[in-house]
Amino acid sequence: MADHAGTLVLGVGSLLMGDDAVGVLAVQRLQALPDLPPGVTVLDGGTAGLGLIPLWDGYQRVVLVDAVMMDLPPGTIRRFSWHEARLISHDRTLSLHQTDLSHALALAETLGMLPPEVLIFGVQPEHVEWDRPLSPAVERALPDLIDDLLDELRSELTHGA
Amino acid sequence: MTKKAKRPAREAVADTGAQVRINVHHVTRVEGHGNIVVDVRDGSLERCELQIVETPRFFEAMLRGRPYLQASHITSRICGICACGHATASLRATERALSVRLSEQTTLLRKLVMHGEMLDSHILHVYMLIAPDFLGVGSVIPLAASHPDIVKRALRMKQFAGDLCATFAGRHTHPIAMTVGGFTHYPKREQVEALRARAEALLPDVDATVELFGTLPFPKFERETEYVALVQPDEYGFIDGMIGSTEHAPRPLEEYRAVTNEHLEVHSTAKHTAHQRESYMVGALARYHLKHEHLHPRAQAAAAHLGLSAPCYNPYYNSVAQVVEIVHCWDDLIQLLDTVLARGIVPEEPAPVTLRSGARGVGAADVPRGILFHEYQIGEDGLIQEANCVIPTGQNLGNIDRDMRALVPTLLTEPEETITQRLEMLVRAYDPCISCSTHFLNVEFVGK
Repeated sequence: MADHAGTLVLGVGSLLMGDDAVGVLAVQRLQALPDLPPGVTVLDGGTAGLGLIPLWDGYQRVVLVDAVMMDLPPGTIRRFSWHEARLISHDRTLSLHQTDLSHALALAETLGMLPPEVLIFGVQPEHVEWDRPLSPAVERALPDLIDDLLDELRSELTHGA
Repeated sequence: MTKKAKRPAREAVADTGAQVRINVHHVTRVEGHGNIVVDVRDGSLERCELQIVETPRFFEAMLRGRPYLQASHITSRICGICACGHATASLRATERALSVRLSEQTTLLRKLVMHGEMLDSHILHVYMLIAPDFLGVGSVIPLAASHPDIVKRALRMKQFAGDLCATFAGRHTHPIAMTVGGFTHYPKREQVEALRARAEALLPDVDATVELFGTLPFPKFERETEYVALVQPDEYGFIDGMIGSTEHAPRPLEEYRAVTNEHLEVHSTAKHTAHQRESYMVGALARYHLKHEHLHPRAQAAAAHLGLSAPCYNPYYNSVAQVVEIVHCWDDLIQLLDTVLARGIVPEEPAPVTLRSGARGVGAADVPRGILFHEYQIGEDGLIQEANCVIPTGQNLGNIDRDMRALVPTLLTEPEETITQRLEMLVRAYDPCISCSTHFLNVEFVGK
């Protein structure tokens, strides 16, 4: 794969599943900004499952944004490294056809296809159900999430590698 | 979720006096939720079934009252794997109802999209869900540790398949560029040329896939059944044609209900089907039986190498037939891309529709798991009045149950772990998509 060297922001989730939309909505807001830091690519990863692996291959850093079950109040934002995320990732895998994010990360790690730096911005959802809008708590958290992501993206590329 | 279903017939089992009780809740490495239940008492098979416990999803009801242009986009959400297949069957149902004549270019591009999806699904299934069983590892993660090159190859091939769909259908899952009468978006020539070059470059991966599956020991088990698939006069196609059967003359698509005969079984929220026997099988193995003479030469050679020839009544060989289809689709898409490049891509307006009162149409696509039917009735106002979808996994459920009932008595001397594993492998061989097939709720049944 190409060596992108920069940072990939990858929002993950489904717009149709209530608060699971938060990662994709964050990415849409970032993509609408006129002044993203240089070297930053922003992508909607949707529910690509194992299809995410080729997307982040070659980047120095991947910043994942997703709804994460953390047993925290709805709308709470947490920043994790992949190592920490594994400990708290809630297994909501409905099937292996649509593999969840933690599974794609684990597979990529085993294959040596993970970027050196993997960060996850998790937002605690209130509900993940068909055809529901964002809960008020997650809606309120979205501007803070964008601010946190921009702070992260402006930080040095080199740390934590 | 276990329901107390009673089988009317007690089936005699070899006089072993065996006691076997197996209850696999939520079979893994299949799409959606299904339970395997086996109950053998005193050597007699009391119960053996695949229970479908997935919640029904009411897509047909969702379509009623919606404009016909929305149908393919709504029904593509039935499945995240067969999104293009559902969209294609849906579009064909609408187009046949509204007397739409497709251009040659539209037909070509639709075939390419279907090939992309067929490859994506088959590669995922044979590499990530089937291979771990044979290579003695529990799932794809340990497979990646023990055989990283195999998993990397699968990801490479799968990525190509996804990009093929995205190039022509606008995105990989849930196609956006396919519409009634044609396409709303066309790729640039350079994109098609790049795909053509990648397809050629990945041919060694296709050959390596055949080699790999040639080394895997598929279980020996046979039970005669009927195979049903779409048939075309001159190709191994996946869109349109007639409904072929190994036990009946081909029927026009409009007669699909005479084939499917949907009915309810108490242990399944998905409907079962039956045609000439108690059950039939759809999918790659069925297609192979009904039209293998139209496979590309490289795919014919792959079948010979893998020991697949008709008739083959071993359901585990469905995965082998999928490998053969991977080879066929790969060679066919190269040919199709060449045709597209030779013709040049000419953006076209979608072909016009003719609205009239009570228009009905049946569309069919042979998607990765088998033949899929959509039928719509569309009013003069362009709103859908009635919809019916018959999904491949639903058509396979009766066959899976009967295979399990035939298989279990042959395994009674084995440890329960082995029986469980063989049954799970059997269910997985059908590549069932349980969430797609649960679309009907009988209120009386649920209340029991």
